[in-house]
Amino acid sequence: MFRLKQIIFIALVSFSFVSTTPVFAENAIKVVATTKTFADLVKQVGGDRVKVDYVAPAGQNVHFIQPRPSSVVKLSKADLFVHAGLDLEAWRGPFVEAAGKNKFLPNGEAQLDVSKGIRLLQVPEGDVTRAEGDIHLFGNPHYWLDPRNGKVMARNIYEKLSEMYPDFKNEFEDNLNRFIYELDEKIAAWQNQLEPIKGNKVLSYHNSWPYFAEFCGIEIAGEIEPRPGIPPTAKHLARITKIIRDEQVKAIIYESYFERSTPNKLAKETGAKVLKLSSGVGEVKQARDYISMFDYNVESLIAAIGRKSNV
Amino acid sequence: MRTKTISLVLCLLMICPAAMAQDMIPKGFEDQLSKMQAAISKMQTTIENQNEVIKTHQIEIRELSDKVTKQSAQISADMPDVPDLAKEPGGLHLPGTKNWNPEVGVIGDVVAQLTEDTADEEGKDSIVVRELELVYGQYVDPYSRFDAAVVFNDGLEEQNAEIEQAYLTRYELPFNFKAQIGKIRPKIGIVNLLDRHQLETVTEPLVISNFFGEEGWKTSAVRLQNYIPNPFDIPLEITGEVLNGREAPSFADRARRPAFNVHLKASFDLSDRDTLDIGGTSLFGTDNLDGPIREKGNDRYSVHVFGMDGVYMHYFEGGSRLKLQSEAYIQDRNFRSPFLTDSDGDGVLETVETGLDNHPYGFYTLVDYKLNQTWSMGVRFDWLKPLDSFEFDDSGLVTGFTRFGDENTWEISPYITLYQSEFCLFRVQYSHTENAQGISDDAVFFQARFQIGVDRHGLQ
Repeated sequence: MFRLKQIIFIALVSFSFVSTTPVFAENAIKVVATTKTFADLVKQVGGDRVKVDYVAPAGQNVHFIQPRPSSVVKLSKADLFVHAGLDLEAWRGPFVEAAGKNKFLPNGEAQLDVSKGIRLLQVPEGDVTRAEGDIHLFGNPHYWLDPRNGKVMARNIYEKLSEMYPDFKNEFEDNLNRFIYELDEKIAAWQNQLEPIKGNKVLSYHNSWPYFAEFCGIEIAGEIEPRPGIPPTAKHLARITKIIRDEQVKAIIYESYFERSTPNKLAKETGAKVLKLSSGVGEVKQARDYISMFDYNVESLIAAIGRKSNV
Repeated sequence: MRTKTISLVLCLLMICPAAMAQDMIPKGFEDQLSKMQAAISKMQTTIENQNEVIKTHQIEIRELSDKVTKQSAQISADMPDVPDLAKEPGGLHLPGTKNWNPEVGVIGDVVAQLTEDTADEEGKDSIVVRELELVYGQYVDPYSRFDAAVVFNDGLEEQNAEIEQAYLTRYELPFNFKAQIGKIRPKIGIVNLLDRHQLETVTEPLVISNFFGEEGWKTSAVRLQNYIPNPFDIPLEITGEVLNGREAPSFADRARRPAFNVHLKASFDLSDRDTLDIGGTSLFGTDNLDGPIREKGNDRYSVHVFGMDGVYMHYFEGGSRLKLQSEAYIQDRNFRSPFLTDSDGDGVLETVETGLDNHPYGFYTLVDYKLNQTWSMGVRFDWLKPLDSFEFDDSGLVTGFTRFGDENTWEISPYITLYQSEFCLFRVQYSHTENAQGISDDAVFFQARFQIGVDRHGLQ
């Protein structure tokens, strides 16, 4: 019996050593980002030097996902944690604590809030309560949906990576410049494309699109949710239907993780088009990376709205 | 003629010095001069432009200054009168100290029930504030965090308060271990780890309430947790706990020995939309040491509980979600020491064989489908071979037994939940129970759950 216990113990110890080898024998800088969008930006700047994983599966509501144990393990082995800051990821605190590394805790040296330096929209003034819904205390956190903010986020990532890995600073800088050059060219092209639809009005399901609307020069006439995070009521839908008709709203934008029946119903009643946009990289298959996400969103929006409203 | 001559001479006199002077100017001087004149002219233009820029900036600065002055005045006007804190008892309130306050949340859980218990003609219809939970938590220092939950409930007979959880979490231990110490919910399967208001159903599964207590087991403990490295890179979480081995029906009421629990969980990400967690529990502790007098002394660690748990989740496009969850437990209880009692009242203690079942078991299966942001519905099926038990008097003599023999209890509980928002839900549940004593019960539950502030739970 004693011998059997010894054998089991030795086998377990050997197993743990053997199993450790492939897991830790990686030289790349290991980064865990909260979303696939941020992961893509890290990849753009870090290039081959980084190995990036993300927590929130594409196509799920990033506010309320349940992080997987696999993500916890990845974070516990990571060199850098990249997140949205503000109060986008309601699960961020418990997730970081589950990984058990204080370098990722708030203000830890190996965490990066990519919102640094971004001009936030809809920052609440005065006291706020949940009578206003699931309101964001620091401002609307969907800032990555303005491609101009992509440059700020990429620069934040560059600065953090350069600070942590100064030996690769030039490499990161080259990657950053290449990305920003490409993004600038795209931004100019998108602006040209969007020119004919500027001034049009759309409706959105959730209040995720103010940054995108500002970039596109369109106006969001209202949301299907009466307040952020609050499911629509019949009374609110009646009000929204009137808004769509009165203000000649051309399209109803929704994300893939919201039910489609309400937008469809509104569309049927009013003639507005239902438009699924990608609120993050990977949410639709065309949004392979940050730039192609905007390619898809801009083209879809133009296709849905068509031409400038006469209003 | 004379006049002409004089004029010619004068002209020559005037032209000659100029011609001589021209001969004296170095070659290229004119080019340089014209270049300098051009440069000066350019500089003048630049200075003029700069002056314009400076003027513009001065105007902007003036405008900004005016704006700031107006805003300052507005802010001052909006500000309430600030007391002179230096003169206040307690001294100055430093900026930012509010960040040191704990995160606070309050959760209310109200349950109404209508029953048709054939054993109780009066029924058990009631409405109670089942829980008013106050949760607090904040980082203690760079290495640890403290979380606590105090629960008040408004029972049928009395109101009471209980420390539901109060524990310190310590990060950054050697080999990446994480530790918790304090009163916790032991990591036994899935449901025991959850607060009541986190459940998908109004009531706990029968096997949990029968083996570990009506609300699950909460006890003082030390917990160590880590992930085991493995060649397949599968997250393999191991949790070891030393528990205060009492306050659960499976164990002693007043045990002097701790209980030990080990839980192992493997997690599989089948796809971006499918996940599977499989776990196993091994728990052992001691039965009533201070209870019945046993003929051969007390049995140490006489209760072993083995369990399996699993959760499969599928996330559909459009926000709906399917959850399949199950837990099964079996016990290995050791009643080999017969009890002593004075069954015939003659003052002489006799040995009694208990005849109690040493292997109670039970399981439940839950199917939960969240249709959208607003609605979810599901059903839970429970099956239980309940714990046998015995009664004893203050002297430790056995006075009676509750044996269920081969009888089982089963229950089916469909439910539907309306999420008014992320922070408020209403639920209706119907439960039909056929219990081991041959009594059936039909009950309808109505639950309202709501919260304000923070409701922070660790990852499941």
